Amino acid sequence: MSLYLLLLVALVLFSLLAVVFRNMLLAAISLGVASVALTLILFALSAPWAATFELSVCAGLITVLFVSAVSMIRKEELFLKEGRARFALLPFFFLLFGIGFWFFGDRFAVALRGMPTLGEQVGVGILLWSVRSHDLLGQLCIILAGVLAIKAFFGRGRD
Amino acid sequence: MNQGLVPFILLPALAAVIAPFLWRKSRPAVESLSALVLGLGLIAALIGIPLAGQLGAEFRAARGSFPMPPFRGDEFSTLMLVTIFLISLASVFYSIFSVPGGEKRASYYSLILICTAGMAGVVTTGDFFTMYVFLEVVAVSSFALIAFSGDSEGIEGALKYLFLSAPASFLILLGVALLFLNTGGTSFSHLFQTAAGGGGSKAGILAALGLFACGFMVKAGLVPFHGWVPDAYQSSPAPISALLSGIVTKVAGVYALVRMSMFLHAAPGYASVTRALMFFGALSIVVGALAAMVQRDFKRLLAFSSISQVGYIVLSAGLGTPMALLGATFHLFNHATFKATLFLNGAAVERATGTRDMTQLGGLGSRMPWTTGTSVVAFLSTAGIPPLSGFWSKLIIIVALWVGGAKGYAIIALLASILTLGYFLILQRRIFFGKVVSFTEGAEEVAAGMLLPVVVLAALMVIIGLYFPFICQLLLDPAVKALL
Repeated sequence: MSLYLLLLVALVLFSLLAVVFRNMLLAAISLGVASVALTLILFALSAPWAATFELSVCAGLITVLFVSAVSMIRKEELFLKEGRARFALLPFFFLLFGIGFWFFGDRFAVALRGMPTLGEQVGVGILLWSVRSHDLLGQLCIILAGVLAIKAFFGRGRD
Repeated sequence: MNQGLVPFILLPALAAVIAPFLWRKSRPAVESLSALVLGLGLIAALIGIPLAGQLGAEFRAARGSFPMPPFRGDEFSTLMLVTIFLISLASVFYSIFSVPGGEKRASYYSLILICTAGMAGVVTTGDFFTMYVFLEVVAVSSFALIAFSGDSEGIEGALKYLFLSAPASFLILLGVALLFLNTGGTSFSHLFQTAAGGGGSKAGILAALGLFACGFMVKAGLVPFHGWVPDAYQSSPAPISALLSGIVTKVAGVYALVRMSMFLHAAPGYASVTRALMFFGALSIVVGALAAMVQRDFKRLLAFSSISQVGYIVLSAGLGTPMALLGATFHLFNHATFKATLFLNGAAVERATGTRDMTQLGGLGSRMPWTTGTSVVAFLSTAGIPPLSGFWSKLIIIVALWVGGAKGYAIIALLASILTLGYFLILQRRIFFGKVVSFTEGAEEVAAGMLLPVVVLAALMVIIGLYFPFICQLLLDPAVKALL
């Protein structure tokens, strides 16, 4: 239960940060971290295939594409200073989340009671490294392509 | 799991990592490394053709088992690898002598290498999700390469590519999800077993196949999803246009459509999808050829011609008979060679004259004899003139359509072939023959290094055409048998 709660809080926190950050690079990274949290939740809920795809597509592909897109924005727009007012809203969102959890937390706990824990299901490692290992190779290639694209666009200034 | 093909992905990917570090120390070393890795890949793929027979046998034996290894290779994959490494090598070799210098060239070679690795991943996988992942590798690197020039034209072409490619990826991903829901897996074998065995929800599988078909048609640049093709080809650096037209669209779209078509022919009740493929193939042939007739910019003409020629491959693959598959496979290889030649020669003409407008050109034949000679060979091969390689593939496609009962489509393909000859004769006359005009007065033949790739590709068109029975026996028959 505590694991689910921790992951759920991380998911909400990083999803909120993705919306709140003015710096788009940080927003894209926050979204990627939120996807990783969702991946872990899916793994914990005995949905390793869905988790693997979430990790591949959202945490991997989409983050790289966002970062690539952000890299094409002018530097002065990229490194905007963060205003405190936006972050002041965060506690209110968490308050709303807490109130929701207060009312629905019991039902959530009952629903989770029957769920297996991480140790009881098909090994994540087996799935990632044995069954879908080539997807990981592809993921690495995508990240490399994204990094090279960024280098190509930023490198122009040094020609 | 056949790990034997993983080096085709790993080697270019590793070279792509090393290149930017090596660039600061020695630029020629990066160029040599890129050419060496792609050359080795080409040799390995050529050597691998006989070995692929064994791999193909393993694949066919495993087709009935479950689960399917995600990576495998058969003769068709090997033929695709040969084409990928050949065109990538030609593109890199041409780039060494043509793309302007600067820091960004380190990323440039790395992007070509990673794009090659992505394409190798697409053609060696037996799983739709893995294919999707590698398609994204190709999409990200292609996007960066199209926009590489950094001018507004390049950015516009790249954005058009991105705006059409991203929804296509989404459709393919949605298709993978539906396939997983209906067959319990994402591999080719799951689709094959479920579709042939009549299992799963037919409507669900049909929806998944429909989504795949739409996604891959966008990536292949078929009409009506061809909007990105002319701008992307026109705005990217010449070697990248050759790479995109020669092989990227084939791998990202056409290859998957050919594979998918084979599964559809093996399973009863999915003929509607193959009929749709044939229709869109024929539509692309006609629209591409008609649009090419009215172009003034020769790069755009070549782009529309590519749309038309890809239509031939998809039309033939949609029919799915052994002869039609032979024609589709052969035309896929041929189109890669002659379109890469034409785009590279187009760049040479632009470099020598400073314009791509055909109305401002003329008489280049005497100024640029090698460029003219190789272009004429490529034109004639595209139009299907004997004894060049393009003649055989078009002949096989038209005969297969006629024999297979698609006589209407055979007539369309034949008439469009005459149109192809027409617009290439116009292009040839305007650019290479006639009187020398002001733009072409000072034109000189390009460097020998830039000519080498096009001379080799043109020689291949002649040799393959002359030795067609031998090539057919060595390369094409095994590839087609692997598909059936």
